[in-house]
Amino acid sequence: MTIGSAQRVRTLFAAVVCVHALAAYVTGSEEPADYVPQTGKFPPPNCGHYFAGELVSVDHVNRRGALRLIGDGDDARYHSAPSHRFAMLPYGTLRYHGAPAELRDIPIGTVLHGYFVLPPEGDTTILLPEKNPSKYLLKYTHALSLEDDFSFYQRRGQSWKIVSVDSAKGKIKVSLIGQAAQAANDGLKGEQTFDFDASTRIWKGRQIGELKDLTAEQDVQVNLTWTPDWQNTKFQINDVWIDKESRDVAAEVQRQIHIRFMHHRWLPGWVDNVEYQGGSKGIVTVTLFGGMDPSLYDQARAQKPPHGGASIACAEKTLRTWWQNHDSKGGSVLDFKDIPNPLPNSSGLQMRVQINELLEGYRPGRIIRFFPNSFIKVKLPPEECIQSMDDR
Amino acid sequence: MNRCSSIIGVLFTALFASVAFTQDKADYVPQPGQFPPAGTGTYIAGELVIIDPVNRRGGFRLDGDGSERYHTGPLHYFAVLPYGMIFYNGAPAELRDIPIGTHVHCYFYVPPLGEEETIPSLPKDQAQFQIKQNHAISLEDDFSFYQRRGQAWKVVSIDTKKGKINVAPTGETAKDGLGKPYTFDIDDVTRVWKGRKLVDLADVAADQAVQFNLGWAQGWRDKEYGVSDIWLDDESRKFATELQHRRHVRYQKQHWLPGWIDRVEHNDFGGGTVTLTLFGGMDPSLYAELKATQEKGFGVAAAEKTLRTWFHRGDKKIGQVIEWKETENPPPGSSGIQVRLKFTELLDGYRPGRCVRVKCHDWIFVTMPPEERVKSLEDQKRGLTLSLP
Repeated sequence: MTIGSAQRVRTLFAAVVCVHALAAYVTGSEEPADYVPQTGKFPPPNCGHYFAGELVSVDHVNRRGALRLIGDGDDARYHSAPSHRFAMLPYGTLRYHGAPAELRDIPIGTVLHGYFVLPPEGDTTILLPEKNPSKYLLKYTHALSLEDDFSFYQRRGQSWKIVSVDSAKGKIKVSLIGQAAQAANDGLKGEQTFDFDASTRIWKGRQIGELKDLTAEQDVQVNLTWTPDWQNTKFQINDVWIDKESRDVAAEVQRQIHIRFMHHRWLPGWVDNVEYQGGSKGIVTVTLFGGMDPSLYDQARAQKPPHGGASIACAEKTLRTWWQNHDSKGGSVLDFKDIPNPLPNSSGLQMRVQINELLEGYRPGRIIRFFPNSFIKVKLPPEECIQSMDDR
Repeated sequence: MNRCSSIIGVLFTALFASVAFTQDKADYVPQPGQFPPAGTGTYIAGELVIIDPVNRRGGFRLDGDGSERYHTGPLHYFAVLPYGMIFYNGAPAELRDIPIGTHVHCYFYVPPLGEEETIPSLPKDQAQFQIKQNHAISLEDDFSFYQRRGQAWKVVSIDTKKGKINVAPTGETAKDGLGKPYTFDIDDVTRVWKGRKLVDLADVAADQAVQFNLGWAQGWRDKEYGVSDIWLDDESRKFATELQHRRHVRYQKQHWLPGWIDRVEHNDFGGGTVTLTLFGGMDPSLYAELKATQEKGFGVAAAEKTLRTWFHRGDKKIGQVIEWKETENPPPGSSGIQVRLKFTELLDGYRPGRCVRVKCHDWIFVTMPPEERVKSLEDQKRGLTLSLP
């Protein structure tokens, strides 16, 4: 796919998957009520609490990690608060460089913007200590979305205009511009001064430029990281993209990584309904989660009757499967439906598949991975597969 | 920069010249306060799957050997020794610099005495997969590993339809690693670097001498790999090294150079003279800065074996340098630089064999991110054993 078409797809993608976040941005300063995720139901718009921080540890296989939250001027919190441990909800979305991503794609040390909710009832993934818990611990541990600065600001139609560059002091003054600048309550606002130095990567077109390529009046995107004055909401620039071509290239590189990843792991979703037909037969209705590249959903839609087919593997809430090539069942796609205005985190794409032998895991609310027959089956790396009940 | 790389190259060549017969000396036990002799260490390679960058630990999926270990065996969990060296894209690095999914080459020892529990034993049902060598003296990506040994790869042919590239080793052949013609998977996800530019697969052509980094491929069990990055020319490789070099230099200036205490001569009333040796594997410019400013004294903070410090800008003492000594051909893990410093007040952590971090006077004091600091005795205790996210 060309960069131009990638951009078109990305725009489409942003429109589909970001309903939730956009709704949150325009709601004013009120904190959303505490939402508890429900089995088989996508969360309503505007229910996540916004936190940003630097990724400090990752368990990419189980889609978990921890953030050092950005500073708020409170020295005591910066120095003594534990890292904010989180788990991605099964339908939680990740974006990096303006394209869908996995936690493994995001380097340690990257600032991320996230929307979080309470754990689902009975979920013990992130246990908060009962004895002497830190007063800084946050109960919103389950992520609806996580994205780097590049993705976060670009998606909102925002960028940074360079006001001035002081190479001697290693300071760059920038001003946030773009349509969401006034309405958005989350993220940085107005004028900011970031640190930079020789380790900052300057992306220009398809190549890595030099510090002298940074000039006033450029519209740029940046990815930020830790700097010694972190507790006072200060940041260092890790990467800066100084033109549109460089941003398109970065997004396309990540998009290709994502597409290959999904071709191998299959598209995540959950079971909406099972129509039992006697014996072991049945029709399974699934909804695919949002946040994937639109071309992947197109591949699923292409499996329409009369010749289309798909396989469905049972998965965990971490989106891990057992041995998906074997522990899945395939059948004809009977029909599909694009639900208009889907809820945040849903793709809105619902598929009905005829299965001759239903699996134990095909139950409403349970997580699956969906394999359109146009994907190629591969065996996943063993550490990603669930291999035993203990492992599970 | 080139000069620095050459010095590092020479150092490493010396350190590992005799690693060729590592298997014979696989069971060397690291001793407190002593660097391991050259020619020891067991070579193990695999893909980095999980890391605890703060405590310099992680786990990787071993290279396939055609056996069922691939499907049923556990990850190989490891700790990097305090003087263990990490390289990425041809320059010194930290674990955090190496992306998950990178194929790495390592040399390992069995745990030092008393540190057998740092990496907990495998459960009984997996005991047959236990590899006792789990403390790393070096860890490096393919780019660094082959380049440092003078080996590159000549492209024989590329078939973009089938997604295969055929290559053959050129230059000196590394003793360990892949030293024979090989076929790798390659596709649109592979990043192709030429000069300072990201180019296309179409730019890969026969007869080019390249370096690459590898990652998982479907045939991993049978020792097959996918190419994640490929550097087509000298400029692209130098630039990749330079970018990592800059990152490393910033990191070390903030965290300070690691080393350990060789000797402490106690004076009356809390003062004394401390002799320390700086660990190897850092960029030579950092040692040079220390040397050039030695008359201004160095800050010395007590550190853990993980190289974590407490609140290093506060929990340190400044000593006056009374002797700077450099040794030719130091053993692996050592820089060969030994410094004697005089302190008016010694810290509890200044004891022979204990680790320290050393600050050049001209480096700016910063406070480390909180998750990297040891903040309590409990925290210190937790840091003694592997605990992955």
